[in-house]
Amino acid sequence: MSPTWPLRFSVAFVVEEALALLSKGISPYDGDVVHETPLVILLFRAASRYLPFSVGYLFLLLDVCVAWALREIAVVHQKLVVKRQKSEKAKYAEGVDCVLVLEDIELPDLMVFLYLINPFSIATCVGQSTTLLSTTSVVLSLLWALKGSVLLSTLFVALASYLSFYPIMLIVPITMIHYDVSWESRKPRISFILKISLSFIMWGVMLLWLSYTAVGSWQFVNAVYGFILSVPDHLPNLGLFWYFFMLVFNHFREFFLWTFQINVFIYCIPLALRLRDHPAFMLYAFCFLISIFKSFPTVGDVALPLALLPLWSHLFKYMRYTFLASCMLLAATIIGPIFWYMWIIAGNVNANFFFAATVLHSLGQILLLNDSIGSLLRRDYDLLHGIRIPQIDGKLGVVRLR
Amino acid sequence: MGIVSGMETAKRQRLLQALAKHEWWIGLVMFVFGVAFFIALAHDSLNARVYVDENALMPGIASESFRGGSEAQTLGNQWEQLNTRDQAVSWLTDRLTSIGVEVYTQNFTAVFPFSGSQQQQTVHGTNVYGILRAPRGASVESIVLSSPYRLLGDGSDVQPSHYGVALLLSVAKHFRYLNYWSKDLIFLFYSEELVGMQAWTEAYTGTKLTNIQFSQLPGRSGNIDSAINIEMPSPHFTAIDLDTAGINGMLPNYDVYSLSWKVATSSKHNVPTGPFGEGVHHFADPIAHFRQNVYLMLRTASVQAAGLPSSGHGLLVRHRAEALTVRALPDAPYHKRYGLQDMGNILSGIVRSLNNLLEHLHHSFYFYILPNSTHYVSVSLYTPPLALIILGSVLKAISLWVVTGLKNESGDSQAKFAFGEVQRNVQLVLPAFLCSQLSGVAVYVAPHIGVWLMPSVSQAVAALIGLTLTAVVCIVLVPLIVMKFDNSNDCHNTQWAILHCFALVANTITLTGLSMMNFSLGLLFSIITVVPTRILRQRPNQHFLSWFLQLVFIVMASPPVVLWFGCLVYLLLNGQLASVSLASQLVETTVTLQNAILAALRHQYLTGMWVYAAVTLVLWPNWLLFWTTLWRPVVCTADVTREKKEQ
Repeated sequence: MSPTWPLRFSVAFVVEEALALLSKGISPYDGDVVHETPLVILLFRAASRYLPFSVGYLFLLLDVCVAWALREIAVVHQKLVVKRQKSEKAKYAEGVDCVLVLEDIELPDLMVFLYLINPFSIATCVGQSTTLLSTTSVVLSLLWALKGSVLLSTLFVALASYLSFYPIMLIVPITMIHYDVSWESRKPRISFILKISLSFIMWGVMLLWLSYTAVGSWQFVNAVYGFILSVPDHLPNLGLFWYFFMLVFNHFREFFLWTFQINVFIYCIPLALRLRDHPAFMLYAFCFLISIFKSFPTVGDVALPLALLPLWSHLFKYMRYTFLASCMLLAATIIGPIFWYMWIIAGNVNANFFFAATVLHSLGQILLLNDSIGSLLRRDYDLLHGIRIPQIDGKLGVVRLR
Repeated sequence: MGIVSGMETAKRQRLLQALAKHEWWIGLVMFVFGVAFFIALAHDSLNARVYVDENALMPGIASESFRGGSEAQTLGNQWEQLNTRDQAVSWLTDRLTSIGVEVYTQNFTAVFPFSGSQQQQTVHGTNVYGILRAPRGASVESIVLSSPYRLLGDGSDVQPSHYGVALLLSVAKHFRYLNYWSKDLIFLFYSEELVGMQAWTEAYTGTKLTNIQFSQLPGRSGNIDSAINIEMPSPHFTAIDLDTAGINGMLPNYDVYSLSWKVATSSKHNVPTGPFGEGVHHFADPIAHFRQNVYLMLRTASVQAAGLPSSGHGLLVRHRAEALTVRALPDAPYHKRYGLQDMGNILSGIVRSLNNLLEHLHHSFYFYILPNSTHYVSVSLYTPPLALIILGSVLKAISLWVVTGLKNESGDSQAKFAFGEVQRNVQLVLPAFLCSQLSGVAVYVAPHIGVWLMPSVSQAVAALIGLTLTAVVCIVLVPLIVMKFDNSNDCHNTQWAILHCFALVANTITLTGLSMMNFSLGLLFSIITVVPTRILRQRPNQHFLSWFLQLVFIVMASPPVVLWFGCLVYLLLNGQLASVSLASQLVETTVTLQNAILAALRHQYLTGMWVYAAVTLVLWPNWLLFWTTLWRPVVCTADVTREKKEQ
């Protein structure tokens, strides 16, 4: 028994199973093991047949690709933020210089370094988790959105949603990034949104149709998306679903399933409204939400928002819980495997212990997300009202952001 | 949109600064209280009394009709005539065959790494086992009854145990004609101590944890539910030692202890029974009683911390078999003597109860320490003191984090801005962690490199030399390398305090994880490292005496020194310190430490013990971080003097 919990969709045991079934002429979705999209399976079949090197190297390539994209994102995003800051400077209060964004030449390299040294991304790559494919798609879609290419960015959002469903919500920030990037040309809003949605739907339909023709049946929809949405598998993982649905009475299962799945998406609306001026940040926040609340999260899902976080390094001085959150994530990462071992292999503790570690993991992420959103909003407030905390009757006032 | 974090900067900062100011005494009080709390748990009124949690066991109800005492005596006498292993194996096989159980043998070969000679030492052995199929069951579950077999007069200093073998054989004969077994009974006679048991368990459970080469088992039964290992050096005994400590500090379910205790001390037998055969007395003087409890609690903890089981039961625990060793003590200071007949009945009473079980033992605790034979300190009781002890480190880490965020040391509590004005410089953290982890790996592989580089000396010596040299090199190199990354010329920079902060966090988390798996080892390292790592001061221009005191404390907290003290405590508690003079006691402890390191190294490959890996890959890197931060004021003082000269 190997600890596969952080890498739920690992090529090692899912895609290989699918390939074995395919080679016997059986649809991989007939059984209950394969919950991977057809195109991924075909990709790995092609890779194992035609590539001169082992499939493992494909993941290294993907990692390099993500690192390159992050570097480009840092460059483009920084330019965009500085440009925007310049144009809005008239609105800012006096004496806000110390919280303004300065162009940092080292930031792109730092992003690459931090992504590549992150234990979560190393684990994803070494464990050959197909989460890396979804991560790559999200990063590339952000990159092309920042560069203003509608077709490419929607293609990669569609690909990410095709791979792991939840990134479907990322189309909201991607649309807003496009609008934000082209704000000088002042296109009418409706036609703009229509254009992007049409392009997204086109790519989505194309991917689904390609999958259909590749496998010859629609079975995969139920096997992949039905599996993600109805959570029939309670194999312990980093998320919050397995423990809850292991304990809940079957009678209430459907109700809580709806609640849990709506919970993932519900935050999109308030966040989209509140963060409308910072669409790239919104994408980062959504990635965190997906990582916390999705039904089968892996360590690769955490690696993505953590890799994007340095884009807003000018917020770090506002953040209060970085220490606490990083301690929590570190503790969960060390204690989690120990509890897994003691529960599954040694058998002297029970599921509650491992669940405690996953809760810690989620709490650390929530704290970090909450803290970064708070810092962003507070910095916005400071830019407009001055950085000094207002005083009321000689006492420091409390700013409530609403 | 409201924000949960609020922005009540001033209030929160005042609180944190108060914490930073007072943490030293809060932490100290917590530490003292935690240690006192832990010691106090040995008192009978603060812990729980032994009781059997699993009702299905029904201990002591079965009628015990074993009458094979004299036969066991004869078999024991026969064993004394055997001279070679082949004779022993064929004798065992013959006996078991004549009883009428299925008999199988298993051969194994183990390479003894880091042996006392220049060549690798190879050990061969043969395990003999018989399976009595259950008349009432479907061979899906089994109970193992095992005994090590040792040839007499082969020069080894291990206590003989042939009466255990003899008793097991006559018990097997008795069990053969009983019709109530619903689980298979496996009678296992393993040779070469733990190595033989490991070979057999690996073959039985289909796991591969070590490098032992073994033949596959020709016959097997179902899942091993529970196991009783028996050791009997002579036909008479005065007390029974119930040994629960398993590999890496794992323990069987407490019910298997309480069951065995209950059967042995029931009115039918009334044998003094407990851990090490002690803790049976109830002193009239409450202080003497409490002192005895503390002594015994620390002794069970010291055995658990060592992580190496004293007998074969410890290796079965890893595979979810609830196992313990019943050891007959011939020389315990009790006046009544018992014989093979009594032990046979006790054994059949225990096995009969285990046979009653309908499901795997799970009701009672898996984590406990025994302060005497009739009480236990469970995990829910001993976790709070451990948490109190470790929390001191957390407080220190928080206070360091807060202090490094302040503009000046006096601390202006009236914050003017919503953001922190001081940017914490964390650039030392990554290189320091990488260096210390790499040195952990270096120390981990050092014994192998030592053996490879020094083929002319004995492997054990080469391993120890390699280990020591690598450790010394790491001690010197790691601070020097980390200093290179301190690129600021300012002595008052906070990088080192932040490194100290993260070292405390890493130490806290790893100690917590360690104490989850092996409580006693985690507690030992917590008690010894928490105070020294807290008193480190990250200030330039300290007084030399104060710095020297920190140096002494940090050296005391280093893994080799902690282990040395661990060995001393172990020897003292287990009464194995033979010499009288202080100097020779110190030498004896050092020799024990060497043997302990070698044993940990060997058993990593022979029984899959991970204590060596935990110390070198986790605790040693942690300690190196603290060691590194210690040298920072020295660099600064040097800087200051150089600046003065330049002026």
